[in-house]
Amino acid sequence: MPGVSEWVLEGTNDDRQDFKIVGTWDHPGRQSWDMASGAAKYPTDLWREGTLTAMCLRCPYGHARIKGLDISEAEKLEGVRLIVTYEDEEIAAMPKYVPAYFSYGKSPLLGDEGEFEGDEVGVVVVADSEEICRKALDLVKVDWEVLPFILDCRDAGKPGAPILRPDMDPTTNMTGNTFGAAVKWEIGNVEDGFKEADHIEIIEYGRPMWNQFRSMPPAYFSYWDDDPWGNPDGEKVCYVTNHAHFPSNGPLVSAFQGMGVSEDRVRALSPYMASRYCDFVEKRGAQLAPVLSKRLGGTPIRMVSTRRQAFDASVPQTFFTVRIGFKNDGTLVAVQSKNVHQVGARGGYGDKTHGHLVLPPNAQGFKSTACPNIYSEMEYYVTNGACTTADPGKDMWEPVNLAFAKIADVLQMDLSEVIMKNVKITQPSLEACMKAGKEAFHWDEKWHLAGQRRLEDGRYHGVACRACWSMTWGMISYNINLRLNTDGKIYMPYSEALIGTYWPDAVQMVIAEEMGMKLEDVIVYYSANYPNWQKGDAADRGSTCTWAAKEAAVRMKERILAVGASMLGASSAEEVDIVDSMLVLKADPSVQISLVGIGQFGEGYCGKPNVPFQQDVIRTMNVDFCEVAVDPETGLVEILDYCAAHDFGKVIRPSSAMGQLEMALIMAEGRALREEIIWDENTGVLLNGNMYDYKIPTALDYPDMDNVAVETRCGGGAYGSTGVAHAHTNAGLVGLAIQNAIGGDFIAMTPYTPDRVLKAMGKIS
Amino acid sequence: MAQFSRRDFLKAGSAGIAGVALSSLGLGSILGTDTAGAAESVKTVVPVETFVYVCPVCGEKAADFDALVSHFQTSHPEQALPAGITLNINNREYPVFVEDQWTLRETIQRAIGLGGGAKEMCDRGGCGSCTVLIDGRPALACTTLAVECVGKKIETSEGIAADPAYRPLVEAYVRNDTSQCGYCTPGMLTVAKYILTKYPEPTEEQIRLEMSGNICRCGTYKRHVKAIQEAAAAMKGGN
Repeated sequence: MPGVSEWVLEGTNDDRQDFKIVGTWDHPGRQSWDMASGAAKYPTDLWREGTLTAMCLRCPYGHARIKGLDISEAEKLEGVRLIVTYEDEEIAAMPKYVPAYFSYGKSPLLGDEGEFEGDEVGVVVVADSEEICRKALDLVKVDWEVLPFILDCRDAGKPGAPILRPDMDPTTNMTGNTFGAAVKWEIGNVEDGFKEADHIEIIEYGRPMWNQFRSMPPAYFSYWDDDPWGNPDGEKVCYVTNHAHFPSNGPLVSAFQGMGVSEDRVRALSPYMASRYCDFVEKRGAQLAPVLSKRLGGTPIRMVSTRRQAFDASVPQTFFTVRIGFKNDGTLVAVQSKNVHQVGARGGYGDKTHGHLVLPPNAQGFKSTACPNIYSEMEYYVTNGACTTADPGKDMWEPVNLAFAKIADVLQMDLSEVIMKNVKITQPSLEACMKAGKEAFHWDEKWHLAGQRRLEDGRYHGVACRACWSMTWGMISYNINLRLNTDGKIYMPYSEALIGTYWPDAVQMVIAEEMGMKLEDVIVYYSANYPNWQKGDAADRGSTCTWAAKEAAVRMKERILAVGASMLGASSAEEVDIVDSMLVLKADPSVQISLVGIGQFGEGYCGKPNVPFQQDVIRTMNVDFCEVAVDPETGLVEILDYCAAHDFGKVIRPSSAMGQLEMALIMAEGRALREEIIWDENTGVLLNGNMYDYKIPTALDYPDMDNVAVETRCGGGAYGSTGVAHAHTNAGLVGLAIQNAIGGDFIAMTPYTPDRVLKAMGKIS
Repeated sequence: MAQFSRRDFLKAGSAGIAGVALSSLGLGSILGTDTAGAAESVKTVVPVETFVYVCPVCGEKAADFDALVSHFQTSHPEQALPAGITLNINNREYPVFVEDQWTLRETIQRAIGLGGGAKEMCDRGGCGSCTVLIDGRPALACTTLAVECVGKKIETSEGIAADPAYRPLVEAYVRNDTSQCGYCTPGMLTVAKYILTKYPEPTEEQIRLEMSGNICRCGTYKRHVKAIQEAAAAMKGGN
């Protein structure tokens, strides 16, 4: 019997069916013109007369400590304005405020230990130009103690491996190279499960570090100036760029937390942060730039990284070996999983000011299967790889889908049937996604047993599909404040930096829908002087925020109708409505008055739906399909067709919703075929930290994409909506399709480069 | 670890370029004597008396060019004398002082103040984010020296967006959500104009090929194809 998700929509009007605005197209984004024209100023675009540049010393070794520093020659260089070292008392005491989870990745803002090649360490120079900064840094004499380094997390756990963090706090189990104790859990009895199995197989999946590649190289811009609204205590206000999207670690937050000032003393300079997906790193500049500026009398400081240095934010390595047992009918009955995972430098998902631990893979994905016997063992290891960023839950499904594909291959079953047979909860979301996706992709026409089809040009043809969570989202409370102004329009300020999900535009549509307003009469606007509850822009923001906005809009409408009833001579609010921004008498719609001038009201809502952060079964799912062609001579893989069937719950703004799918699939294409951070194993030096050697997809690379929106109303956002982010960036699907094309073993390591493909085909050793 | 910067490299080899720029330009026009020819060739000319002589190295203001030269000789004896040039950007003449090794992108951002169009992404000619049109053809502002651009017509995304003739293009860009994070979009809009001038009815293949030098991490490529084709249809027969 297929499992069914039990879920009741929460909040007011979440079950709405009569949509006029939500789900419709052709609503240009409020910021779109500025972004296209170049009027939008991003942090790297900012420049004021007299701006000084700040740069950090970077560690030239895979791992090293500063034994001694001599900055005297650098200080003499013309154009150098300030040099700060790790011995500076103020810097050493930062950050002043830290979030509760700080202890996991605690490290100094500017320390004496460079934990990877390119790590910011020891010295910051402020000078007239970037060139002078570089020259000054060259003149800094550093006595380095070169330390042993580890680049591969699998090596970190081997006997005799150098201990990278002898100073780790033993009370948190963080000793040696292990970040926290190994995580072990078991459901059922795995050995009994294997006894029951008709087949036992081993699967392997490995992922190298890959770079999320923020388009904008970091440039934290900060200065101190008068507050145009007055300086009651004589203090100037810190202006700083705001470009990270999570609530507790955006630079704006980092700035006031770092300095220990109240948030109203810090003002954001730009709402644009470019593509910083789940980026938890690089808050050093956000904290250092304001302090450096203050010491120089408020002079504008632009703290920059080069493109190569910007490669210090990467997603970590992870390696799985999984033994699976299954019956002749394709039913998974036993899973024994071992996962070795990298946590990068300083033992955290980790930026250098806040540690962070976010959803590493392990065998959690198997908990969403009906398999009764699962054993999971996971170890985290500190390495000298660059800081690592978030690793959201979708990667937990890589070994799960590999297991499904292995079962299908061994038993010569249709992979889509194996998925449906083994996932615990299939209705309504997974079943709807699978049906819609198979139809759009023409799965039944394309699927075949491994190694059975060639294209006319001689290339091998392969297809695969995989299931995954569409995170239900709804984990953070959002604070929405609405105002009816004397112009009859509804205003909602926000202060978060934008990443590209168009969430303010989605919120605008929900408010207009609920209130009966014309879309143009709802103004969702950026206000730098509005230090709101949350900072940021992400999948949760894009979905859950709409839920809170809906609740606020309903309350605001009730207040307006209460006043409007008397103005229209009605005896109660139930007798009136708002239609196209006009107060209307329901009994006689020709009787109506404008909202202009009826008064000013404020209304707000702060909260979230009752959705758990994460559980074993996610209500909203998605299924992706992939078709590849493999050149038998070169091993080159071309993705011919991608199709994502994604359960949005409810699509609020279709254009951006589908755009998120396109983004994720194209990123997956890059990860699957090319993207990999490569370090020299002898020196620990990054080898491909540039855009020629680290290749991300171009306009010539994207495949056909016929994506499908599924709406089950099971998400945590308004009307059961949910987000997209992360859910489709899995690289493993392409590997499954390659195996379907060439037969034989599954390739155990991403990306699926020609050499690995040729090796899998037995053409090279 | 000693680093040999591009600045060092360019300074070593750019003296000749600077000399040509200075002599061909004629410093007189920069110092306040407007030239009739220049005035006729552009829609708007910045009054030279409004120009501020700012040291591009330290930011100190000087009363005039001679004072700036003197300042350089005393304060920055190791620095190359900045070149005084006029750049025609978006049909407007900008008299600016630049160091010989300044790229066009740096100059547009810091000396001209048009910070949003030619964006820095890779700074090595590998991403297309800084694309401008020079005499109608796409060029990478991060690998083009400002002093090479004298006498040429430079157009940035800001200029294209302000041109009523290309309003259908910008509208199509906005309508199709061609921006997500938006960082690369100005560079792509600039290439889009070039595509429309080259191909009245561009095919998907032509657009993808012309756009292949522009990196978008948000993967918006498909949207650009649609937007450019919509704009081409809207602009068909003149605009």
